[in-house]
Order: sequence, then structure tokens, then C-alpha cells
Amino acid sequence: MMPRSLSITSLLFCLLIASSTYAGDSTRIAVKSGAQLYIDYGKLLTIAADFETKYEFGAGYQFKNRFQPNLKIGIATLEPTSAIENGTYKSEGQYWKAGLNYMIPFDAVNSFYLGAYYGQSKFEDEGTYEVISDLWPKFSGSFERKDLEATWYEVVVGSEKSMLKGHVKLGGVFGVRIIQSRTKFDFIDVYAIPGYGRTLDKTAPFANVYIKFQL
Amino acid sequence: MVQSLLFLRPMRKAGYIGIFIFLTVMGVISCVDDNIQPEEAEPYISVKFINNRSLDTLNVLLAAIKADIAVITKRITAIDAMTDKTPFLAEKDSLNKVKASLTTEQTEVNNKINKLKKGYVKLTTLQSLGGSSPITKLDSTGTNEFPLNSNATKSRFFTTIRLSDDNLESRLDTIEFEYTLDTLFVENTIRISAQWPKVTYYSFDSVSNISCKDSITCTSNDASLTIYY
Repeated sequence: MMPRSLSITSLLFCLLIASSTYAGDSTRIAVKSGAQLYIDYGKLLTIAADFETKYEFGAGYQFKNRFQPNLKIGIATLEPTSAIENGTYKSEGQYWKAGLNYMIPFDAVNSFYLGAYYGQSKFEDEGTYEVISDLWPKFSGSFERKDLEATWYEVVVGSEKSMLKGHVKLGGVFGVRIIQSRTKFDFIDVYAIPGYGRTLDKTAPFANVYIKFQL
Repeated sequence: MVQSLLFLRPMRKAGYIGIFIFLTVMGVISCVDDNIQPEEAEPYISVKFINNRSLDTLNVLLAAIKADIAVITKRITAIDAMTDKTPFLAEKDSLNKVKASLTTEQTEVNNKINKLKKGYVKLTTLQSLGGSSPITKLDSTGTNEFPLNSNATKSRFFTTIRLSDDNLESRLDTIEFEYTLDTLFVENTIRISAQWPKVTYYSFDSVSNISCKDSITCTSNDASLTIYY
């Protein structure tokens, strides 16, 4: 679990790093407009992991006035082994996020941006548990819960590098998710939410890497 | 504001290195998960054994030793009070040697009594009715932990206690507990809590009342009792 203060510190850290790469007067750099397709390739790496599988894609439009609305959708299967120490847990579902970035170009190639998003996830979770005994038959149980929901806000800072005449952009983003509402349970609460992450705190820091294609 | 941060421009490469290190550390942290079976997920009750018969025998022996020492001490004191002790010095020496020997024996008996009072008895076997393999678990204070059945509100145990060092003499006994069960999720672990345990049957000479650390909830893991045999 990461404390909120550390999340804020991480954001400031990112802001400093991004600002440190600033190379000119951004007011003079034009922003090329166009539709964008987004793939989070960092999440594709989770296909190889045995504790989670995630996919996230999106579309957006870059306006000349530097505003960039985005819609992202994703699906995830999360199986954190620490959710139930003497059992298994799986949270599975889909989510969407919609928001707005404001681009601040460093130069013709590199950009920094700030953004805010709203996200919603619909998912289900299930788990098993057992208490092993050397003397008695083991105690075991399970649960399965459907139609779960969560909503949250995201505040992000990121940077992008344009390639191939601006048609391809490689980027990275840091942010903090702030939970707005979610389904709760008294006995074995929801541990992980697709699109949001672990519910250890009301905030969850995150970092993503992505590739964008601009038409 | 961004203009004012121009002095940070030389950090450009350092910035990317920082991002890489941050991502790597975050990735490593998020992947570290241990999957160790947690302790105390299963309910148990602490049981101490006191061998009453041995204790009685040792107490009788201790009383006899103390009486002998008292007689010898009295005689030595009487010899010391004489004006002419010379004819009795040999007797006094002999008495002192016997007294030293008795004192050593008294210490040994006292140690045995203290050990028995602590209940340091390792069960030869602990078996359950309807359970699996026999086990014994003895902690450093001489307390045996009897795991309770998480699938039922009653647990019957069969115990074997060795009575002689040569393993030829032992005793078999039965004790049964009843309790209520509760399933808890604490610190990401499913724990079974047995509450208000009580002894419903025993074949030992006697058992004490079950003592609870918290008299309001009385969970088994904080409860203990002493068995006398």
C-alpha cells in the first residue's frame, strides 16, 4: 500500500522531471490536430504474468488548442496472491475512462501534459479459502459475487515523444486514482478492481506506458 | 512557471533514467507476494498437564527429607552448644556429610516438583475422533496446543502420556470440548475462531476451569486449562 503523501510526492517528482526536459517557449510551438488511437503496451506485458492479465485501448482527438479528449476502455483479470493468504482471489471485468489532457509541447517532438479522467468499472470477483489442520479435515469455503461496480477520478501527468512525422507517439503517464464509490462487503471486501487496482486505500498511484497513432 | 524551471534542462537524461528506475521499483514492489500458510488460522486451546500422583509422592519425599535435615541440624546445634565437643567431632563431621547429601537430594526433588507444576509433559500421541494423523505440539512453557475441529462445534481427543522413562508404562485418556465457531477475515487471512470452549467429557482425575484472557469474548486461542492425572 502506498500512502497518499507518497503518491503526491511521486506526482511532483514527475512534474519536475517533465519540466526539466522543457526546451523552449511552448507558446510558439504549434500542435498538430487529428484523431488518435491509443494502446497501453505496458498492460500487454501482463499476458505473460500468472497473477494478472490486462488490456487497455482508447481513442482521442488532438485539437490545435492543445486540449485532447480521450476515451479508454479495458478489460482485466486480476489474481493477487496477497488478497487471501490462505486462499485464492480473482477479480474480472471491464472498465472505461473518459477525460481531457492539456498538452504543453517542449519542442517539435516532445510534449508534456496534464489531465483528469473519470472511470467506471463493472466486474465480478470470486475466491476460495481453506484452513489446513494436521489433526482434522481441512476447512474450506468459497464465494462468488457478480454485478459489482466502482467509479473513480484520475489526475495524471505525462509526456510524449513524436515519431514518424507525428503519426506515432510514445508516451508514459503517472497518476493517482481517487475512488468515488464502490461495492463493499463486510466479509472479504473487494480487493482489486479492474481499471482501478487494489482497494487498500482511497487513492491508488499508477504508471502506464503507451503508444499512440495519430491520423 | 514552466519558464522558471529552465534551469533544470541539464537533467533531461537524468529525468528519463529517473522514470525508468521509478517504473522498475514500482514493478518489483507490485510483484513481491509471499504465499505462506498463516499461523493461527486454525483454532486451538492451550492445555497443561499436572501429574498429581507424582506430585503427591514427591511432596511426601520432600517432607521426609526436610524432617531428616531438621533432626540433623538440631543435633549439630546441640553438639556445638557443648563445652567439651571433642568426643563428638567425628559424629558432627558425619552428620554434616549426611546433611549435605540430603540438601542435594532436596534440591533435586524441588526441581522435579517445579517441573511437574509447570505441566511440562510431552504427549506421546494426540489423536482426534474422526481426525487424521496424531501429532504433539509442546511450547516452551510446557503448554500443549490442542487444535480444534474447524468443521464442527465439538472436538474429542485421545491422549497418550508416558508414565515411565522406559516407555513401558503409559496412560490413555479422553477429553472433549464444545464451542461455538466463527469465521473471520483478519489481515487478509481466513481465521476460524472457536469461542466459549467448555469441557464436556474427560477421563483424567480432574480438570481446571477454562481460563480466558478476555472474559467477554473468550476465544479458544486465548483460553487455557490444566489437566490433573
